[in-house]
Amino acid sequence: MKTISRRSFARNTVVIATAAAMLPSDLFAEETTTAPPNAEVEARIQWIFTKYGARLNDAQRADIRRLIASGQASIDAMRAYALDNADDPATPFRIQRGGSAK
Amino acid sequence: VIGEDVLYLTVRELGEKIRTKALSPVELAEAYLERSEGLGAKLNAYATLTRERALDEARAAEKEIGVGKYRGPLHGIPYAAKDLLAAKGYPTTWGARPFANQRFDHDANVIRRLHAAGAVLIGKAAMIELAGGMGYRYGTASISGGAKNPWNETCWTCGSSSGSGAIVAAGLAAFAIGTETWGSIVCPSAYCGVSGLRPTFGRVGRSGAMALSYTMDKIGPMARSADDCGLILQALAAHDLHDRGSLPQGEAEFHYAHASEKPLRIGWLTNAWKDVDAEVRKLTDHASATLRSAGAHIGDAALPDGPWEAAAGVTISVEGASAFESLIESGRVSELVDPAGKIGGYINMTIPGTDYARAQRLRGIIQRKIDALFDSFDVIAAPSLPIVATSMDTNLETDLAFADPLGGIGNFCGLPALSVPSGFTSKGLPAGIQFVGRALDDHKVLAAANLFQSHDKSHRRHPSP
Repeated sequence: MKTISRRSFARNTVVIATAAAMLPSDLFAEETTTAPPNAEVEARIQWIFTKYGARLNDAQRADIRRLIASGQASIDAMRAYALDNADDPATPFRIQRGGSAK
Repeated sequence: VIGEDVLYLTVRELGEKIRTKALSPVELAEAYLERSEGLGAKLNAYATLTRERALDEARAAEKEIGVGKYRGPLHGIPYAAKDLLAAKGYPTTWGARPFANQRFDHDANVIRRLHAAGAVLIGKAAMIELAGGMGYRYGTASISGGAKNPWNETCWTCGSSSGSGAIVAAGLAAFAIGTETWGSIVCPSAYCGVSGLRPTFGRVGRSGAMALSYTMDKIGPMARSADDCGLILQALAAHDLHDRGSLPQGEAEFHYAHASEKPLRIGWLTNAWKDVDAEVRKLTDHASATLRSAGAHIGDAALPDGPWEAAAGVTISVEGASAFESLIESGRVSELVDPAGKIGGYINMTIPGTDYARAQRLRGIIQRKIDALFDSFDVIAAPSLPIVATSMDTNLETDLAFADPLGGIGNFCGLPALSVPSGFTSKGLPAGIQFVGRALDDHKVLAAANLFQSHDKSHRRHPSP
């Protein structure tokens, strides 16, 4: 079978691995090396390093930095979609009375 | 001696032999167990074999059928269940080292339902650790090692229902149960050349199953034909009192019919994949032509543009981080096999709550948009994947990543999907096509796949591992 290069599939929004059950980290993996640093990306990285840094080696820190930075574009794309106040969530709360919530 | 000619029969065919007492459930279970102990171990297909339970259930089936108490087409049929489904007394590892010694004192809902239908549990299928919930970079991301593809053992089966795919393809059981949050039934079904059904969200109750994404996890069958998937879904589909995502009984129950009463309108997607391997494309075109000549009405269809994949990804990431928060906080994610799995949870913990809420609001919008597409089509169709199975050592992050809007939208909206083999490449690897339907139209994806398989026999081919 012809090998399909990753580049041929790459695009500027979300890129996922075929490895299914969706890889949260892969979801944010991009063809580009890393996006330019921004305050939000740096804040997320530093939160992890502050809270869990003692558990992480240098390679893991580099992976975390790369994955968060490269994934920011897809989060930004999601935020750019215009929503109205009336656009309510698809997962509404349901009341419970007695033993069953159904 | 029961040979491959019997072991590769469909559930319907095996069931008929069992019903007419031409085949002993005990001998059938023994044959699958023996094959699973040898070939299954070689393929890393199983987490655990449940020999004692299997033989108890098989003997009970044989006894009942012997006195005329036949329960239906699954009675006496051996199957495997993905190792994220609780089976009383046996290890349920979720594919992950931190849960290597986990056992439950009860069966998962689906295992209870299959027991009630008379099916015989012969083992727990290997899987990607935590169903990929913390991320993974390699197909070896499992406590039991990488599941080898029976069509080419240097290739992976895909995941996360990796063992389920290998088991069905290698003739180690008559069917297997898999789960899908995003791609975990469709992908291994395509890579392994089997038929796999992802039911409508909420149709199959999930109590007793590991949770990765509360609003996106689904449980479904992987089998030798779409027809078998229909038979199995009929046994599984019902309201589950202990699953908040479960549909009310009137919507959850499923009465299987093999064919559609009217000619099917199939929308062939023009934008499911950005690029498709040439051989896969050729097989897909052939499948489309086969369906057209079989009477289906085929037209072009397109998925709505939008940030749906990102929203689905945020949903899984945040729900997964919550589901495994204690594992992440404890630091025991370091015990996972895969380098991506060791850090993915930390990354997912940083996604803001407003992004999760936004994803759920976007979800309502894409639900309406995709539902409108089904005003024109009974099902939409596309290659299950744009490629065939890749080598076990493929780096999924750097060498195999591509956009999957159909998988994203289909799973985000809880739509049913069925992947069936569309044929084989020149190197003998299976390709797949998938049919996706409107919510609750599981019968239509089954009808489309049945129509295809009544005119194409790719699903009857099996490897010689």
